[in-house]
Amino acid sequence: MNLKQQLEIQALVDGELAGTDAARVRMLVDQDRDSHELFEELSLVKGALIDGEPALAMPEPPDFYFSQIRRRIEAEERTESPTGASGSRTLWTWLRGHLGTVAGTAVVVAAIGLFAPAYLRPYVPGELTDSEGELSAMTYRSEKDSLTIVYLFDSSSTVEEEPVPEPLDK
Amino acid sequence: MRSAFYRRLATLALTGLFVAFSAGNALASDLKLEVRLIWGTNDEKSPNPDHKPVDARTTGMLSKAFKWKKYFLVNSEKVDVASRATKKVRLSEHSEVEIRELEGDNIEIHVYGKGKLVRKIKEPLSKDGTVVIAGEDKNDCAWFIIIKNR
Repeated sequence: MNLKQQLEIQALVDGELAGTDAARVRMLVDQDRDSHELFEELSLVKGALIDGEPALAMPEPPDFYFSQIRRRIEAEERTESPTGASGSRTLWTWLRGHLGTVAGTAVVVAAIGLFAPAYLRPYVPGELTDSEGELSAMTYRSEKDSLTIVYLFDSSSTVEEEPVPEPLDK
Repeated sequence: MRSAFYRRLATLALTGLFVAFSAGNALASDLKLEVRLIWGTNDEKSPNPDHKPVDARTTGMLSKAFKWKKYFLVNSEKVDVASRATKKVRLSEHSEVEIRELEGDNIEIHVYGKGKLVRKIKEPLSKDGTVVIAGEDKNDCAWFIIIKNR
């Protein structure tokens, strides 16, 4: 068995021969003992190489990794809400993500507005309107006593004594 | 699980809003007031024998600010004013007040004398607060309208 025949047997084992060439070499393997042994050895080696060959995977780029996560989330959302328009689903998704924050903020604002002490609220100054234009008014406030006094008097008449000579918070 | 958490949070928040607004409405309504008309004089007795001297606390409050020494109760009325509502109260034959509940702690008071609108006053009236409207009268006397929560 020469080198050419050995290469032909190797080609047969690798499946590289076809037609008459394959038949001829197969006949040689069947009839010649050395050729048959070589064929057996090469077949065993080929099987061992195939079984022991590590399975190499193509490395995934980072964008492919994150796009997989996005696809999984979208698939779960479709499973949770199979009906409804895509627009309303998007709005609901947004609301679900922010509803807690918005509602919580609304509660805090409402609570502050309703229960805050008076000094946190905008001060509304006293308002006096003289419907006839004959009376004047003086207003005194005592925060300590929670007291407001509105004193009405006729500015055209002569008053001998001042009615409110002293401050209230004294 | 995440959805269930947000659903619970939203429910809690909405419940809180409902309670807050209910409490707010309850606070805004049912303004329970006491309105008194008081006569101030330096005389020992009121010209009307039916007038009784006011309590010591009111006397102290008024004499701290005004020159008159004696204060007599002419009339006292209990008034309930609903939220954003107006109530008119007659205090004497010639004097009336109209009280309107406004936003927050504010009230608007219209003072009427002999059927004519004399003055419009808008003032805050806190829970423990008092609003006094006063004016001089003949014979060196004075009248006082005291409005407070009862």
